[in-house]
Amino acid sequence: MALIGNETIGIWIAAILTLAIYSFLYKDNPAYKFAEHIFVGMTAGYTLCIAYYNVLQPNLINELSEHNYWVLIPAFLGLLMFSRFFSNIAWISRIPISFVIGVGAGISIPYSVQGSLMKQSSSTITPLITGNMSDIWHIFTFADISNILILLGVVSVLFYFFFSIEQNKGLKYLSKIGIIYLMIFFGASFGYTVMGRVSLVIGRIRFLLVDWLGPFIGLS
Amino acid sequence: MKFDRRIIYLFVVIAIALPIIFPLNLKVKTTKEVLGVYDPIEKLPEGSKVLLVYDYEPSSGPELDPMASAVLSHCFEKKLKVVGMCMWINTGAAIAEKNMTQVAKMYNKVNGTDYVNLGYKSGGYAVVLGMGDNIRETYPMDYHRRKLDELPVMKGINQLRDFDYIVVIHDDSSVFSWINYGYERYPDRVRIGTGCTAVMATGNYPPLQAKQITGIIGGLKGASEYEKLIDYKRKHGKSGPATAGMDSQSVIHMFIILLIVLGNIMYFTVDKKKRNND
Repeated sequence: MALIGNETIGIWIAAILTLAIYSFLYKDNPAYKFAEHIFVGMTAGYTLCIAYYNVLQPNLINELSEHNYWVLIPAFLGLLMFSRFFSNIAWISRIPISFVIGVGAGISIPYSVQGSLMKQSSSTITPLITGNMSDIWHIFTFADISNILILLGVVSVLFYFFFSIEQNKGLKYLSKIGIIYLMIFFGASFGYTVMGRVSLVIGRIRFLLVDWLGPFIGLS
Repeated sequence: MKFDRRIIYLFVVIAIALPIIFPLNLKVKTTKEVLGVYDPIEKLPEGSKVLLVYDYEPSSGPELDPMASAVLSHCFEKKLKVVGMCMWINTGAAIAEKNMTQVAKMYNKVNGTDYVNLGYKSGGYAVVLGMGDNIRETYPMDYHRRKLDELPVMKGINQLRDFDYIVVIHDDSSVFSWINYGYERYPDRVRIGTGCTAVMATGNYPPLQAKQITGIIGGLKGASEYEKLIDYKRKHGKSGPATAGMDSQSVIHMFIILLIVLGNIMYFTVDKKKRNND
């Protein structure tokens, strides 16, 4: 019974805060500000707890209690980051930052080159005609057409961003094809973005109608 | 020409609310991208291990919660062992816990035996690299502070390559960490499918085309397709949350198209001089 009560209270709080946030669509008001401040405060509190229980406690406190003092080195580097708050010693924070950048770049560059650059390039380099050469109606398959379009897209978009030489004559038309490819990409991205944003509104309105008002208006 | 945009907001609310109150039950057609995630799970034998990554924030919940529930339901129906986790967005740990508990309840699955939530681990791609070497060193304990060695579900799972399939549900670009530091490290063993917000979907097509991932569940539409594939309506007696949302999605898209057409007509019918003055 207590669980049902807690759940109901939770739904009511969520519903009121949702309405308070959406009230901004009419105009800025104290209810919106109130909900916004609660959100910021909750997020900061949650992140602090997560940082303590998932990072500091297992990686530092627990390790020190087991007499593993090596972790004091990264802990010290982490503390150096706080020097940014004091202008006269702010430069010290560059030491941990350079360490993070150095390690990060060292790890990520080989994997990124392999996983993104090489793999994407190799998947672009595919046989353009795989159909039956002896049958005029089956020389091209749908996969071939797709491969040709991908090749054309890659080359034309690369040429569009190639500014080292003047884009005239043939190159001009090639870069225009690149613009068409980019526009199709932007259009698809925008369509997906609209769908995504609308999905979020649907989720909230569904919550208000089904979870909050549902028991009163017979929706489930 | 001045137009109060709050009127549009009102119509948007009506266009979304009406199909929720009066469902249209529009048909959902499945695509090969979603089948690319469904088929590998469908083909896994009983007892196989699936890693489900919840790398998203509560703000993306309306899009991604139905997706995560559908994939998890599919895994539980197939009697697979599921390990949940997050490594990029810290709120994912609580989302995973809520989602896994809710779905497990429907299938009478036991936490620790049939599934487990490892929780959040900071470090981004370093977590993937660490899991590639030894999961127990990266995650000594699960979300409930239990040692992994004490959990039956973790039996036989020591490294990333011990998972038979990985599904990364995300609202950022975390799937690329899994591709670069998981798949590329063990290309013969690690197979990844992804579920993402609609906004992220187009960015996930290049790795799909390069066969680095097997499929994409894109946004609410993708989630509704997955619900259709697992026959959600017949098993639960009602449409799944994503399928129900697609009615509103279709109506609102028609409304947006109408607004675009009307906007263009108004733009071209207004005198050019007046248009420039505005």
